[in-house]
Amino acid sequence: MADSIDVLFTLKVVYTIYVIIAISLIGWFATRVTRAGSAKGPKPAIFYTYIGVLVVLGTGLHFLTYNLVPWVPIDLNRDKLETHKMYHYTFKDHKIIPKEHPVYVECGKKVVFDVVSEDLTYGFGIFRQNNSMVTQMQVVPGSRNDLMWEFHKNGTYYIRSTEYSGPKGAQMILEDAIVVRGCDEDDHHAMKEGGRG
Amino acid sequence: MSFMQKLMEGHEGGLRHETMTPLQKIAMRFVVIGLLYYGLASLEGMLMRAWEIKPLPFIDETHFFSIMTVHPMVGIFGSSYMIVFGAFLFLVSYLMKKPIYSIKMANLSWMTIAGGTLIMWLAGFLFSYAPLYTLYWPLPVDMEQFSAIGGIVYIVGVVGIMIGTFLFTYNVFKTILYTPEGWEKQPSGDLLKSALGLEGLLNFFRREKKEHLVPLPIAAISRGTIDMGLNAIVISSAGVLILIYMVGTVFGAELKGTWVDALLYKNIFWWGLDLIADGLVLIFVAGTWYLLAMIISGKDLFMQNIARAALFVEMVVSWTVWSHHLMSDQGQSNTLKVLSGEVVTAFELVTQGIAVFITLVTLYRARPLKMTNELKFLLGGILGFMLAVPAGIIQADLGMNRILHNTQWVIGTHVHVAILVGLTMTLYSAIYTLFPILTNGAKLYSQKLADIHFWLHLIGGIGMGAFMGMAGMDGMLRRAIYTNGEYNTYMILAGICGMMIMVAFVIFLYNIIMSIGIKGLIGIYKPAVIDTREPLPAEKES
Amino acid sequence: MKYLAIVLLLIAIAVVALFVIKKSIPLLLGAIVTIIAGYFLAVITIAKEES
Repeated sequence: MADSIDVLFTLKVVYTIYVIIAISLIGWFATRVTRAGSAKGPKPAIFYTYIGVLVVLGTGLHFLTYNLVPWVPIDLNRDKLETHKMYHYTFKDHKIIPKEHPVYVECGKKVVFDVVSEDLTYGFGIFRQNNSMVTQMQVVPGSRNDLMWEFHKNGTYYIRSTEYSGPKGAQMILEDAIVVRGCDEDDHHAMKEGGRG
Repeated sequence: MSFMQKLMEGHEGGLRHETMTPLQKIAMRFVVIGLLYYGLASLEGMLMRAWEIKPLPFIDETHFFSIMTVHPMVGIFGSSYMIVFGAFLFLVSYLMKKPIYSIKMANLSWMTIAGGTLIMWLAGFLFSYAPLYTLYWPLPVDMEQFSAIGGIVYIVGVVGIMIGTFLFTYNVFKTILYTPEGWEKQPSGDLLKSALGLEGLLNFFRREKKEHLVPLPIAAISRGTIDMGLNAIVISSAGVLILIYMVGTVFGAELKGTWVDALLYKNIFWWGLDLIADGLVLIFVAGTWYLLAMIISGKDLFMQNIARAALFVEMVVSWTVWSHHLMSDQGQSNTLKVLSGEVVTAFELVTQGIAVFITLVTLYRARPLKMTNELKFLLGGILGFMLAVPAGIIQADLGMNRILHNTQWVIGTHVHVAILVGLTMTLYSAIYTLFPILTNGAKLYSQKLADIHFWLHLIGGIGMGAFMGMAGMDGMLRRAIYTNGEYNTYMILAGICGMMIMVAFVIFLYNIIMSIGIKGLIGIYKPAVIDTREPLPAEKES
Repeated sequence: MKYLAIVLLLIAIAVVALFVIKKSIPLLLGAIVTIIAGYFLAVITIAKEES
């Protein structure tokens, strides 16, 4: 099952290819536009095909991620899904206060991280040991801030606030906050000493 | 001629400011200050770039974030707004072939925006007010981190900027719609309908189409100015809210932050800000591209009616996309996230795609063209948006947002590529185009320097966005501090690219000053000798 | 001028909205529509001004 590393690797490849194409296109245009040529514009069919492609790309991305990125259907169908376990956190005075620390999460189970802010707007981000991001959500005072997640690899993750809450909150980190165990596969970027949980 | 003489007098006579009309002077006043504020934003940007590599000893954490707070405000309002306002106040009069409604109002505009930006900047510099430009509630009124005086000074500055903005919007619409003395009565209602796109919308359903009363660039200016006014209302109301709390604190009143719902605040704030980022910017940029393409090619715009319609669509779309900023807010309704955040937002790929297509085809049909400064910077601007808009569409997806929100991808690959490459290169193209018109024929000092400016800015801008984006995809957050060198390789590379952008600006500034001379530069701010509300001196018009 | 008066009124409405709306999506959308419509009205007064 895809995780953020897989999705972001795909993004890196696809976007890099696109950037190279865009730069090449403008470079080609810049050389051609200085040379003589026909004054005819493209046929309407070309224009409308181009618009069609943009519409397909712009909306198709969302169909693609709904079907390929596991956390999208979970997010959208939250109300119909059963929570295996809920983990509670309070954010206050630029501190992350867990109800239990660390939390031990079973592989493949839908768990919910429920976070309350007692003062400012924060963020709840789960990160691997190599600092890559697993997932995140905003933590807004006076609002629901809960995120359902399913882990498919063992690892030890830290939590970091992903939203600016003033200079005092610039490095709000809770180390070794989440330990995932029971999976067949390890998250190589989230391992501390020892192997599978 | 010695270097000092050239610096003072300018190139080949420099700028003869006594030949300039009041409106030409006003446009140049806006542009000069806008460029100076760009320099300030660039300098502070480099301080932050350096800090991200290794914290600087003379800037503590609080001050780092107060620099980050004022940086976008200086860049957006002090620089971009100023350059755009100067150009547009001139162009509205020039393209409508009408005298500007009020010279006084135009002068007051640049003074209040320039002054307001300075005051706002001082809130950061002197009082370390650092809630960032997003002002997420209740952070701007967090008295444990910030001082009330800092907040009050910040808001006073913002109010100054908003006053100047409303004066500009009034002056622009008034100029389009009013009847100058001695003229036949202007059909103001019909002009407004044409400018805002209502006539075009009705034409869609009519068999016998009514002709457009305003030129296409005026339609773009009008529609973007609507979004500008709406945004100014939202920013002003956020400012009033903060001021109520700050003044209340000063007088010992107990005002609870919980009286304002933080998620609601985010919704209204982002609705307002997207009218700049997604509305005004895209509409003004498209309109500027169309005008530049017509001037550079000497031909009519390809598919003009579709271009006009797309400007109207973009204005309406900009009112509906704000939820793409709230995709990681779990309290935000899924319906809003999908419809507003994903579906309607995707339309911006179409409207901006139309602008790219039409501009490139217009130029292509007129070939061979000379690769002038105007043309190369226009192509750079188009490339910038071709890179930045898809990056924005990608992050405005529920799946991608979950792992990209608040990372360096957003601020690097999307925001800075859009602003520095897309918008700024478009503005540079406009400046190079308008330079001879506004200065009555002043000559550019060095083409070589203009070439260096172009390449340094283009490569630096794309490079900085790229390295920031790569760091973001590897988990680097925006608005955060990393002290263990976790992303140093990317930050060093981004720093080098940032330096290229700053050096490019210094070269450009030097080139302009050497072109117009220090005497010309000062002369811009002296009262005009010619008394007219026309855009050009009488002998230029005949 | 009428334009400025309507703009100030809309700012006041937006400030009140920030306190009043809370979690209501219909009220939020209503506020947005009000501000847009109100601003168009403000711009229309410019067209209607005599000089």
